[in-house]
Amino acid sequence: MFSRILIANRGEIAVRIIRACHSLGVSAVVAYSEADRESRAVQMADEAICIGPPESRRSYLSAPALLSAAIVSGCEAVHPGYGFLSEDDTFAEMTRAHGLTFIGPPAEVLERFASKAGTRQLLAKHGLPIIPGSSMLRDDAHGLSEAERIGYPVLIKPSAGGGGKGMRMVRSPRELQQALTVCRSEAQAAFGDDSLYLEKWLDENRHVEVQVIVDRFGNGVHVGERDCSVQRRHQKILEEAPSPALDDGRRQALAEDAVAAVVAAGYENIGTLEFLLDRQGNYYFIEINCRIQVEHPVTEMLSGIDLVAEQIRIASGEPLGYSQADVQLRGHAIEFRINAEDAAKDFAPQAGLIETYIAPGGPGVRVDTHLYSGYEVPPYYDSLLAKLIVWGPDRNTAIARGRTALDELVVDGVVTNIALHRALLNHRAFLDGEFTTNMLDRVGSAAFLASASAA
Amino acid sequence: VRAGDTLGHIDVLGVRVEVAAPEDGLIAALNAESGEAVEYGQTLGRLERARVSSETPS
Repeated sequence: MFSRILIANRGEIAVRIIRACHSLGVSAVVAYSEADRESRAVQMADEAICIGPPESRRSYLSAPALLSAAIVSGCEAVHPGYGFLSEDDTFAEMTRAHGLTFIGPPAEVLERFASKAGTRQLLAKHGLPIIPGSSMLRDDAHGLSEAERIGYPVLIKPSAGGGGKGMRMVRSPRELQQALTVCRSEAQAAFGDDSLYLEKWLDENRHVEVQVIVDRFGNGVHVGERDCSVQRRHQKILEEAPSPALDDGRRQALAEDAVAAVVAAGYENIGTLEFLLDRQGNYYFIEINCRIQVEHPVTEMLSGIDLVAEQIRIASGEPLGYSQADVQLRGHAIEFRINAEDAAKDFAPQAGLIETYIAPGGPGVRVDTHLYSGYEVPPYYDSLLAKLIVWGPDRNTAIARGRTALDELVVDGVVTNIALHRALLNHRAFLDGEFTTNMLDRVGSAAFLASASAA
Repeated sequence: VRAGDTLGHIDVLGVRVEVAAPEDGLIAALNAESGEAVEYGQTLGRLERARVSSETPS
């Protein structure tokens, strides 16, 4: 096991990684930008090093700044969190070249899974059903002919990154041509890579993903699935497990197929395979996330497994040490992403002083956050303030605990989306487990919110 | 020192980044030892002009 780890990230995930380090008896060094000097992670760390200005490109995305911070502070490994450089195989390779361990899949594994189109082909070979899609688009003309072949509607997706940036669903060649330009510039700005591909769009689909843990010796387990069908413009808002849309037979088949395919394809460390689920219960593999995910606590609540600790343990070379039969999933969990965004202003991200922050509590309630009363939310990064996770022995209990916890949670000073979560927990489609990924966008999130408060 | 004089360098992963004097003046204080780890934004020293003093951020 390592004795000292550099955390190359910020916000709630930096706090989460510090907790995992400390519970493993490992010291945590936080690399921070000038905008995060007063952050909770900096306060909690054993050591903190300023690595650059607020601009991510010169701090959290700067490999030389991060690696020199790791070296001068005596770290043996670097934890990249999610976003930023977490799936960057060049960064993983540079980390190794400087004698440090990258906490995640090794560089060559990241490289093998770097292209989304390539990964779909690879995992299809190992038995996963995939959704019809294109290869990487060479130009607009190639895009138009591929869309024609797949059949509209199609979804434009960037090769790199995630979080809905550079993604658009289009229904006609005209829409496609316009959207390609927008997506290309969004993808370039967000990920420094403007390559795009197309995927067939299923009008009414659910997003279900499988968590896997694989050690370097080829031992792998799945830790069940998560249902992330509540989305706004391709951004997950609320996640739950188990998925209300799968019966036990399909649930087991999906998870077993997923872990068997990635183990066969030589995956290593923790990862998530994302699938689209259609009305008939067919699932299609869409992409793999080679990192810890925002919604990982949902799985931790069901399994009792500390996924960040597992990530660190496996990167340090330890064997998994348990088998599928040892992974027991109990009850139901829901995660609410508490974002600083204003529904009245088209969900524009908010920044500013958190005047009061009070966390909810009680049985089955967990909060992962970097907030404290008096914290100033900087305007430079994403809008995630906190994740509220509730667990119950069954879905109805989890929902009831969710309502109570959302009522208890106080975040004063910036506008948040707490009201949207309350509305979701009173919405028939959610209560019936019938939510699909485009439901909020079809109604319009603001209209959804307005109708919920009127009812 | 004269404006543009190299006062030292910061090593970032083996790449030497020069620290140059922004103006003519006298080195009034040095806040970092040779070989010491420094972070972004740290004051390395103080340069004094004939009348006004100014800070030299890294």
